[in-house]
Amino acid sequence: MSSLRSSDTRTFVAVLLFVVALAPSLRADLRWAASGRAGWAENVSRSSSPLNWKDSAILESALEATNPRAFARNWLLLASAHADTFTVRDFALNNTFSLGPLLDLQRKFGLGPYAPTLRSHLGLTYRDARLRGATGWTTEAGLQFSQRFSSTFRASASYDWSQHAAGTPTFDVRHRIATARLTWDFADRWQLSASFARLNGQLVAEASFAVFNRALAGDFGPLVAQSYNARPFSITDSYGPRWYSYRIDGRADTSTLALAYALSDHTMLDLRLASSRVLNNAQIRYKSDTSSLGITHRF
Amino acid sequence: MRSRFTICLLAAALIGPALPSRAESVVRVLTRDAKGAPVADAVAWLIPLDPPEPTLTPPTEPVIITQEGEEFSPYVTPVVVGTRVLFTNRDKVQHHVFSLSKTKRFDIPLFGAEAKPSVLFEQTGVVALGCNIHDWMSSYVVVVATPYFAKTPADGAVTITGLAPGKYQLEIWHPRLASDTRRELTIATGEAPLQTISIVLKADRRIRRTPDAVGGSYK
Repeated sequence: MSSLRSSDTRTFVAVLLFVVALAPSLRADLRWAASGRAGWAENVSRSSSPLNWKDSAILESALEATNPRAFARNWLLLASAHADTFTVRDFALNNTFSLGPLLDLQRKFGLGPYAPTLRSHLGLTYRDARLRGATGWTTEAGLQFSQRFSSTFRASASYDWSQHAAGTPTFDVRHRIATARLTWDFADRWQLSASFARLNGQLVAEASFAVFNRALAGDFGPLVAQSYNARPFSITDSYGPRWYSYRIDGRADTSTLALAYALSDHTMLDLRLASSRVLNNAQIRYKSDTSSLGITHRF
Repeated sequence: MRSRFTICLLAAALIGPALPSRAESVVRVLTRDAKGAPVADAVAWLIPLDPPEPTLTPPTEPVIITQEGEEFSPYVTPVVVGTRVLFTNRDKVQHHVFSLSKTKRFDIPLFGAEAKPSVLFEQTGVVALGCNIHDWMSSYVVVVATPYFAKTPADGAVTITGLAPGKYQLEIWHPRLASDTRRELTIATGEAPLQTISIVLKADRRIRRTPDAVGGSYK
């Protein structure tokens, strides 16, 4: 399995580089963007039991190349490729590397910045995870409607669907995410944004050997035992020796507040606070909060 | 947040030769903010109030507004009525130039480096330009019905020449002008009246082109 995973990664990277290398006109029109983020995540382990909550510093990075094509009046096609890393400093088995193409089609209904815009996207991402059985392919699609109300205020609403096909059923998840976002440029270089996202679908959570086996045995009630026994799980050592990863249905509500400062026309620095509240089908609630500092640069 | 700046208008009358020929006057406009720094892209024009009306001669070649670095250049373009403007694209990406201003509505969709027809500006007024692909791009064409106009450069100083003695209406426009500014002045032979006009500008709140910070999904 591990050799197949490595082979998939190498093949994908090779194909991607091949396309970029042999398409001079494409390369010349590419827009590059890079971002980095460092933060602190509470309950990064996404554990339902406070006994298992683990906190850690997290690091994220992303590189994106986009080719925009206005192929018809009011239509814009964006073909992009992205590569992302996610690092959990104190629990390296949860690190991931992702890359893949994304196709974005944008339709503007009218002229000018105040015309409403509808975007649809389709993406395929290969996620290489250190966690046993988590590596696989994610397909995603979505729709976003956005409207600018003034030169400094805009809003958007989106609905996204994604499916991850992993090496083990534990990590085969489907998500449906509805997001609403407001952005306000309240001063010359300052921006405040807020978003709320509701994710419905299958979630992967983590638990220690002791806690998980107590759950299976019914120590936390019959509903928990029934739910956890009916779902796939596997020993992954994710946040410690003999830790379990298990899949369960539920929803996650994530509220995000970000304060950003424009260092230039191409660079944005932002402080972000994200708070997720999860309710799984066993009626267990838990939370995961993250605060981070990020920088985004468009070349 | 508003910024105040003061436009200092210096009107000087230059006396010509003793022969009874037409004496020309000069109007010099200085733009300064409250801290004394110069203000660029302010358009000043003088409309003669005494007959006869001046002869308007649009240029034979079109005025050029370029798109480069996904910005318009220049930001403000004053032209006389009847002038043609040519939009040239020096970027590798396409642009879609348009205007929704009542003075002149038009749009030139999806053009690259290829030549496009010029646009005739046959009415006076201000025309706000944009690009329908790059929302932060903006520019203005100020169409005037007088040959006596100028735009302040980086040092905030312009000189309008060729003025005959008489009454004029001085008008000032700037993209961030909070209210109309106009004043009647009389230019007499041999005199150089000094005019000072204060103008309030709104804060610069153009659409920013900085990339948004994204992310924040549950992992």
